[in-house]
Amino acid sequence: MFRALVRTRMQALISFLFRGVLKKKRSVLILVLFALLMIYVFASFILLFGGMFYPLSLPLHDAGLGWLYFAIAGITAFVLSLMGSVFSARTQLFEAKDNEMLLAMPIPPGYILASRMVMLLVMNAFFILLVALPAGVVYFIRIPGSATQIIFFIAVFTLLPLPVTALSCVLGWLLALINTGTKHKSLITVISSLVFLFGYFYLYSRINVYLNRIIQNGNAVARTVQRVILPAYHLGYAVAETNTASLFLFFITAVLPFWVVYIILSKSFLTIATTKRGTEKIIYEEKEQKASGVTKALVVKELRHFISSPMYMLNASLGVIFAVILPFAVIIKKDQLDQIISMMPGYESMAGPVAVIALCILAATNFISAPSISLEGKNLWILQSFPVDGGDVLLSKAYAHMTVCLPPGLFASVMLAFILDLTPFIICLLIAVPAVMTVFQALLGVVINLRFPKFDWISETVAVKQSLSSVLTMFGSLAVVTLPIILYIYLLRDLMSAELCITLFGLLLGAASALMYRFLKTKGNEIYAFLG
Amino acid sequence: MLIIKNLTKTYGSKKAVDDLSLHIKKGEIYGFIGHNGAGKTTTIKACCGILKFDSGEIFIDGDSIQNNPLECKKKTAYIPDSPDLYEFLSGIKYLNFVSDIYGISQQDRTAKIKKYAGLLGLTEDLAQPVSAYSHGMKQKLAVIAALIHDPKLIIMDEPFVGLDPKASFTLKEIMRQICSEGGAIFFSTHILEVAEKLCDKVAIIKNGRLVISGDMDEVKGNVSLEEVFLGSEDMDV
Repeated sequence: MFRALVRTRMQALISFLFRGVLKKKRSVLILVLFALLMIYVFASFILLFGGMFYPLSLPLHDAGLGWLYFAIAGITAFVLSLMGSVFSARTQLFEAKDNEMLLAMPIPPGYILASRMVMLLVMNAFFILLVALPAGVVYFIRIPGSATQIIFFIAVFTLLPLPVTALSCVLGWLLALINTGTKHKSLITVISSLVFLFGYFYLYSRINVYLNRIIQNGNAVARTVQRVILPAYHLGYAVAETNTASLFLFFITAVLPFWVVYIILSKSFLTIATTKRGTEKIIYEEKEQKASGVTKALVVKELRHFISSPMYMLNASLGVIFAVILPFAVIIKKDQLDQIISMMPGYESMAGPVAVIALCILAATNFISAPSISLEGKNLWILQSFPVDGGDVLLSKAYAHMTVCLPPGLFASVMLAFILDLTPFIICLLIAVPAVMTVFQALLGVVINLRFPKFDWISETVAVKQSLSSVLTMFGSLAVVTLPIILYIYLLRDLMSAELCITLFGLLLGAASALMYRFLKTKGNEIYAFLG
Repeated sequence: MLIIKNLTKTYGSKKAVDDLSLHIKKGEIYGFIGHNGAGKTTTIKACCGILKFDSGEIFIDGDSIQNNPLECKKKTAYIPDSPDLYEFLSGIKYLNFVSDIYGISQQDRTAKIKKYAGLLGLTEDLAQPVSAYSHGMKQKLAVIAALIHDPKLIIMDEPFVGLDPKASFTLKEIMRQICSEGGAIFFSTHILEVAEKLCDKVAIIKNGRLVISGDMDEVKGNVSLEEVFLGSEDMDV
C-alpha cells in the first residue's frame, strides 16, 4: 500500500516536471532541446557552487579549518533545499487536492503523510546534491582525502535531507495556516515572494564579500558556527577529521527532528487535512451595475485573471518589477557605471543606447500574453460562444499585457532620461523603442500561443511555466534583442551609429508588430474560432 | 429558428454525427436524446459555432452559422454540460462581463440579474468568487448568464444536472415562458421523464444517426418515452 502511494506521488512529480515533453509523438528535436536545457540548468548550478567553494577549500584546509568548509557546504545545501521545498511542503502535505479522496480509502493517514514526506525527501536530496557534488569534487581534487573521509562525506550529505524536510514541513504548515486565515492571499504571496527574491539577489550580490570574510576571519567564523550551529559543526568535523562520534551526533540531530515531526504530523494529519477554515461569506447587496464596452470588458477580464494568480504575476512579469527598480539602481550605482563605461574604449557615449537595450531586454522577459490563450483551458467555450470577433479576443490578451507592462516601462524610460546625460534624439529612442518592444512582445506571445496552445492542464502553473509558448516567446524575443547587439558590435559598428542601429531596430519591431496585428485580426480569428 | 441540414462530423475515422437533419421552430422546446457518445454534444457545439463540421449546414433564424457566426451567436445562448466558468471572477462580475459582451444597458442588466438570480435563489451568493460555488450554483450562474441578453434560441447540454429541485422547476418555467414569447429551446438530456413532460418535440440519436424525431405524442404513441428510447437502442442504424 505504502509503495503504491509513493509510486503515485512519483508519477505525479514526473508528470508535473515533464508534462508535454514525454509525449509519444514529441519530435526528437524537442526532446534533444529539453535534454540540453536540463543539462544546462544542472551544469549552471554545479559551476555556480563549484566557483563558490573553490576559493574556500585550500585556505580553510591550510588554516586547520577543513571542518568549516564542509559545515559551510552543509549550511548552503540546507538553505537552498529549504527554500526549494517549503512551498512544495505546503501544497503537498496540507493543500493537496487528493487528500480527501485518499482519506476516504482504507489507508492509514500516517501512510499518506509518509508517502508525501518521502517525496519531499527526494526533492531535498536533489537540491542538496546540487551543492554537495561540486563542494565535494572541488575539495577532494585539491586536497585528496581517504576513502573513509569520502564515505563520511557521502553519509552526512545523505542524512542532510532529513532535517531539511522536517523544517520545511513545519514551515509549510505555518504557511498553510497563514494562507487559510488571510483575505488577500495573492497580494501576500506576491509580496513575500518578492521579499524572498530580492533577499536572495542581495545575498548573492554580496557572496564575494562573505567568502572573503570567511577566509580572512576563519577562526572567528569557526567559533560562531561551533557555538550557534552545532549540528553543522559535527557535520563538518565528521568529514574533515573522519570523527565517528561527530558522525553519530550528526546522525542523531538529523534523524530525531524528522522522526518527531513525522510523529506529531501523523497524529494531527487527519485534522489538518480535513479542517476547512475558509473565508467569511460575502453577502451580495443588490445595486445598479455599470456597463462598459466589449474591448474594455475583455481586457479587464484578462487583467483580473492575471492579478488573481501570484504564480502568473511572479513568473510572467518580473521585467516589470525590474523596470521600476532599474532607475533607482542606476542612481545608486551611477559612479560605478560611469567608471565601467569609461574603461571601454569607443563606448564612452553608449550610456543611452545601453539604457534602451536594457529596457528592451526587461520588456522581453515579460510574457503575460504567451500563456493567455492556454489559460482559457476549460473556459474556452465561453468566449467562443459569444458574439465577439476572435481577433478582438486575441488582441485583448495583447492589450492586457501592454496595460501591465507599458506604464512601468515608460516610467523607467522617463527616469533614465533625467538621470543620464542624453541627447534629445536618444531620449526619444529611450521612450519609443522599449515601448514598441513591449507591443511586439505582447503580440508575439499571442501569436505563438495561438500556434502552441495547451488546454489539458490541471494546474495553471503548467500553462504559465512549462508551456512551449512561454519558453518560445521569452527566449525568442530575447534573441530578437540580442541579435542587433551582436550585429552592431561585429558588423555594423563602422557603418552606422548606435542610435541609427537602434532606430532601425525599432522600425523593424514596429513593422513586425503591425504584421502580427493583421495576422491576429484575420487568420487568427479563424484559428481561434475552433481551437480546443 | 434552428435548422440542421445533413450535418456530418468525423473524428479521425469515427463519424460522431452522420447526416443529421433537424428543424426546431419558434415556440418549440425540442429534446435531444441519445446514449453516451451518441453525438449530442458534438451536434450542440456545432450549432453554437464552436465546433467545425465536415459537411451540412446550420441556420439560426435564417443566418448560416458558417457564414455569419456573429449574427447567429447574438441570437443564441449556450449552456454546456459542465459549467466551467471563470473562477477568478465573482458571480456578479461574471454576469457583468457577459452583459458587456452583449451590450446590455445598465438598467436592463440590473433588472435581469435581479429577476433571474432571485428566481434561481442565487442573489446572496453573487459576491462570492465562482471558485467557491458548488456545481449547482455554477449551473445557476450559467443559466442566468444565458438569459441575460434575451436570446431567441437557447441551446443547452444537460441543463438539469446539478440543479436542486426548486431550481429545476424554475428553469422549466423559464423555458416555457421563453417559448411562449416566440423563442425556441434545443436541449439534450438523459432525464427522460423531464423530456417527456417538457418537450413539444423530441429527437433520438444513436451512433451519430437520427433514429426518430417528431412531436412528442407521435414519437411515444401509447408507450412512455423511456420505452421508445430503450427500443431504439436495439435498432440497427
